[in-house]
Amino acid sequence: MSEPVIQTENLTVYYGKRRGIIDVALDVYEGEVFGFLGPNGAGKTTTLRVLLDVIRPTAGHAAIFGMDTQRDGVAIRQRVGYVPGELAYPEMMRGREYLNMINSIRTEKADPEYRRQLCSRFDLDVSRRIRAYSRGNKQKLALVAAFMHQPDLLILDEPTGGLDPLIQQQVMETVREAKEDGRTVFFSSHILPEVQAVCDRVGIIRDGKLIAIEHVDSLLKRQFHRLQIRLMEPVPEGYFESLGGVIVTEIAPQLFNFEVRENLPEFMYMASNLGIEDVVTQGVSLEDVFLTYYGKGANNHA
Amino acid sequence: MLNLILIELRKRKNSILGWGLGVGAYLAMILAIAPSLAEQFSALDLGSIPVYQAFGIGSSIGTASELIGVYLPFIGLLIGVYAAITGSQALAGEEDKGTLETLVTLPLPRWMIVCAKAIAIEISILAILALCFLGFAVVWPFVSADIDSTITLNKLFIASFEPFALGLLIGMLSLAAGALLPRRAHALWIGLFVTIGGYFFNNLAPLNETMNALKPFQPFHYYQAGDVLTKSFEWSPFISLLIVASALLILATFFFQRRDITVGLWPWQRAGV
Repeated sequence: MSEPVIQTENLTVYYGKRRGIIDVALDVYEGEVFGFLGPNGAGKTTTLRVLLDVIRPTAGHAAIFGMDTQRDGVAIRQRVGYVPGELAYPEMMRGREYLNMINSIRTEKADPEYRRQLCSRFDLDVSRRIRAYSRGNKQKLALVAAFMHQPDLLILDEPTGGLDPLIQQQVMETVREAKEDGRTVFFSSHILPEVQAVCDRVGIIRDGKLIAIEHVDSLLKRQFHRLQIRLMEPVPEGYFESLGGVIVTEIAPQLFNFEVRENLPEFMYMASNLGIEDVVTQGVSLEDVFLTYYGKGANNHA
Repeated sequence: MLNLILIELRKRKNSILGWGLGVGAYLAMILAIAPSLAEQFSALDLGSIPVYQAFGIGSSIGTASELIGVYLPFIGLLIGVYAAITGSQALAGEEDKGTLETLVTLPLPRWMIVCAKAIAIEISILAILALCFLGFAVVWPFVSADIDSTITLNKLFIASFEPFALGLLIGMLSLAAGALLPRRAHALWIGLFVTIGGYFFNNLAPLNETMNALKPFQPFHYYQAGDVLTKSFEWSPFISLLIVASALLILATFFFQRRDITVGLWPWQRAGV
């Protein structure tokens, strides 16, 4: 296996007495797209900020391209593109001026043709002032600024936030292209399809601790279904026991929530024997899958 | 570095024009009315009234040069207020707005960010003072014949740029406070307190022995203001202010080098568990 592009050891951040992250240890390899998942306040953004030397760790160590993130921060950031989770710009500037500013600060200049392509792909009008931009346009500007130098490492904090589905697709396509070019992508996201579409591995962080790192394929195998079914008859005691992995909760007379981890066709067949009046399927995010397996009080099936 | 300075100056463009034209117009007006106003003031003994003393009128006003000398210290006060605003905005203000995070994630050493902002503050103060002098220069040809020979355009030039060191000190103080303290408001209040407090303290200190003994510990003591019109410009107080400003810049760089951006905690809270 190649040398890790990102490597952290016992990375810990405390904000005074408040917990940021605790003992985060992860390796992200060259050419990999690594998804970083976790609920709000879990420590995702803190981790990204430590990697970029915005925040200094209380303990532990982080390295990118084999260099220390604090000592060699400038050399590292020459090769990194970053989309922050919270967007803030000099509002009086035009989009074009902002991109020129970013370009002027970097030693390696962006290819103007590629920059134009990105703007057109994300449908971004750079001639307007940033203060007139919508949330989505500000997100697009951050994406162009991060991608235009074709950096070796992209650190993306919720990169598709505020974007419409078509542009989200374009972002995913751009991430995929970066991966094909052998570049590394580290990004946090809540959205299952985009993680599923581009990530090789995912890590989940909860309460500041990295609780699991898994290949996306193995996670998807564990995906389950959530159904709300109105039945004509009550569910007899132990009726679904033979299937295994079915959790039943009655929320109203003859209205049930089912969490089905395996044998969905057999489950539907057995449910139909009780007379199905109505079925509602509920979306399950990758984070739900994670939290079911690694969450508080969950049965750990990992 | 140059790009960064230009970006910083661009951010300040409107405030430089606003403050420069505003203070410049005020000075032009003072110069324009000085001959006639001095005549009226000569009948009054304003210097004996404490409230006037607080505003720097410590002696009687009989001539146009004395009247201009009374109003000149306001440039220092106004430049100090501007410097406190722009100095606190440079790091702490950008952190509050969130734009500092983007800046520190670019391939720039932190000392360079602080120095570029400090140079931009310096240039913006100079630009405002240049507009102040412009105010004098525009009116001068029309009033020079009515003003006593103590004042020359050359002296007005020195008087216009002399507050530079004072403004720089307050700007660097607010910059350093912004690099250390959690919020912009803290840095701004420190800068404003030193400026406004120092101005009044300096004017009232001669009335009280204890205050007078403490006078050298605030920056307005080294600000020559109207004195440059009647006496020769002295380099030593000017350089003293520049030395303290440089020390504050070094402190700002030191604090910013260690700062956790976006965290918003007091230094002792950032120390960790």
